[in-house]
Amino acid sequence: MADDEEDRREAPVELRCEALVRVIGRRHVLREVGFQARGGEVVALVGRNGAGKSTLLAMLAGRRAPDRGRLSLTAAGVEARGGALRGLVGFLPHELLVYPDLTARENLHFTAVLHGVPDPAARVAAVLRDVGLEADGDRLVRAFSRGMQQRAAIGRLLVSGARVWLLDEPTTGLDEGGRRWLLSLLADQGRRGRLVIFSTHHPSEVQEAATRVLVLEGGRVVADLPAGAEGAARAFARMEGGGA
Amino acid sequence: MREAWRSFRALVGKDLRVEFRTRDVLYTTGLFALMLVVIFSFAFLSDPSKARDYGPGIIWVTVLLATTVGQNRLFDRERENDCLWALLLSPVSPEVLFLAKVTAQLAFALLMQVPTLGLIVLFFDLRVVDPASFFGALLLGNLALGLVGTLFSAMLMNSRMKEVLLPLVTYPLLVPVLIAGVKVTALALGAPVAEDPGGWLRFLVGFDMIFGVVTVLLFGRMIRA
Amino acid sequence: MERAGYGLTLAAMGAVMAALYLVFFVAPLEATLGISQKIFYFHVGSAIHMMVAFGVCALAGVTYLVSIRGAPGVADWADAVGVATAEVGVMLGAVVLVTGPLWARKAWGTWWTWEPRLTLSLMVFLLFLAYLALRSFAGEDRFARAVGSGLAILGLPAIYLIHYAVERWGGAHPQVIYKGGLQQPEMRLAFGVSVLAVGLTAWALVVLRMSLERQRRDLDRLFLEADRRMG
Repeated sequence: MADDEEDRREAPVELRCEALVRVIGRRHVLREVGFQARGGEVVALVGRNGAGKSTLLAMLAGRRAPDRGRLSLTAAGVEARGGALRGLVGFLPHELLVYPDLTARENLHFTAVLHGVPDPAARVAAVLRDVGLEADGDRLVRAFSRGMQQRAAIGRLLVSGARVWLLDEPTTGLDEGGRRWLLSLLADQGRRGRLVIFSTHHPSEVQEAATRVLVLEGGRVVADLPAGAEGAARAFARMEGGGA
Repeated sequence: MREAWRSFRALVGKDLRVEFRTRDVLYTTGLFALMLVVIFSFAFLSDPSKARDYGPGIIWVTVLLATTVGQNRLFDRERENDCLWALLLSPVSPEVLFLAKVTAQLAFALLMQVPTLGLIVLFFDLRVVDPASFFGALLLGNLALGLVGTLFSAMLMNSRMKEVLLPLVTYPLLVPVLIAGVKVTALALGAPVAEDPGGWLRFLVGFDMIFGVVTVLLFGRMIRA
Repeated sequence: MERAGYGLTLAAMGAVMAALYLVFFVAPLEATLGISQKIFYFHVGSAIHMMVAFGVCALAGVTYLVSIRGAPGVADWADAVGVATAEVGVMLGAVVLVTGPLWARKAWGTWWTWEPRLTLSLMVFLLFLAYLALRSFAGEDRFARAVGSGLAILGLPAIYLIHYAVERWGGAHPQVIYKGGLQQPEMRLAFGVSVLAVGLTAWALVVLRMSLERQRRDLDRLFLEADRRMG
């Protein structure tokens, strides 16, 4: 990739959550979730449906405000706020965040300009190559398969230069090759000092990409384990046993 | 500041590009406006000598209704795939985002209105004796509709019933614009009243300035909530 | 807060009794309008307090938007003020818009005229209705509340500009004389007490409505606490 030098200059980020609470109506969706994570980590978020994974990711992305608790993101020891904070975080929910009536190239170029990327055209061309859409860059995203749309959406994260990647079940809709590609990309982002947090239902994905796994259950973090074969197995065992 | 300007241009450019590619909003609102003109013709033209009395009202009601229909669609594209969140997560400030949306919607509204107004003038046999005030009032009025409509169209984006809520919420706020607009248009079409349209035009400028500042501030505040 | 509400309610009951007595048994019949002039005592009081309620609602909107991030307690309170004033404002507006035409029919021989003050009352009433429609259809979350606050805030300059525009617009028409003429001191006394009575009633309702809102939130909190302990 072309931006190795730029990556080395990136200041380390640190995410800190303290007792995050989210309430919908008269029920808790998140109950005092607290953890810290720093650049270089690839955190897998596992838990059954309704455990609060999507809510937590949306909250980390600043899309839902916590009802109680504190959330802070520091870059190079300085707490980020406002526009600087927004530029640091990249979010990929189920709804992809790409415009169907623009081509992949137009989508990425638009993102590049909004994020103030120098020489957007060259950067976009490089990213299109990285996500494997070089040949389809000038087709409308609407005409893409789900897997290709997913690639375009990941291209958006790459172009934006976000330091914190938040992805909600990012392998949905990808074929086996795409899945492997994405997981190795996430692991690579971690090695470049970025913080990646993604949710998943597959033990193999935890094993392949993550350095750490958080188990969410009933809106709480019930286990915080190092990833790897053993951690993944324990995390999923914890998840299945916890509900009995 | 240069950053903001670049983002603004990218945002407006994106909206125009998508619109010219699909033409959803322009076609549908344009056709809707055309239907309105035809219906008004049948409803009011029993006595052609009265055309000049009805003209200003018909122009402004058409503008108001067609613009509202377009504004209801304004944020549909941002809602599809949740794109608005990508914008809100980018370093662009909400204020720039809002002004870009207002600009794009203003461009669509004016494009839609040019043929419509031509038809009204033709059907009702109107003579524009004071084009400067005529177009000035339309421009200022459309800006006011754009500011208020864009604000609430964004805010109501995800609510059910938004099609009904939008006019319900914006029309009471826009009554002054309608009053002033109809007045100026009547004068510009040669109403036999000795009144200077300048006062009403200044009133519209005042409305745009007050509402411009307040809506920009509110948009930022409301988005952050 | 309930206690203040009950106190105000008692005071309002007394004031309404006193006002009714003064209006119908002390104040003399007006020479030209006769009995219909007595509408005026309650009509004006309702109009005054509706305008005040509107102003308070807009201020509550500002307070809500300013405090939502830093001080959620204040924001909750401001939101309760906003809902309460809007609901009571709609009630006052209904009184104004029913009594206004009744009076107009007798005094001016027409049910409705686009007289500036009447027009303004109608617009305030419509804005309140829009606010409540927004609140009931746009959802219950923070965001819907923020949108409602925004509408209330924009309503303030809008009302000012509507007033200005209608006055200019109506400039060519003969100005109707609005004041029914309060020549006798008894009339002025009855008028003053009526305005006070309507005001006490309205603000007692606002306070009671606010305490209802607070109880609802306390209940939500209790359910949440139960949910937290069980979960």
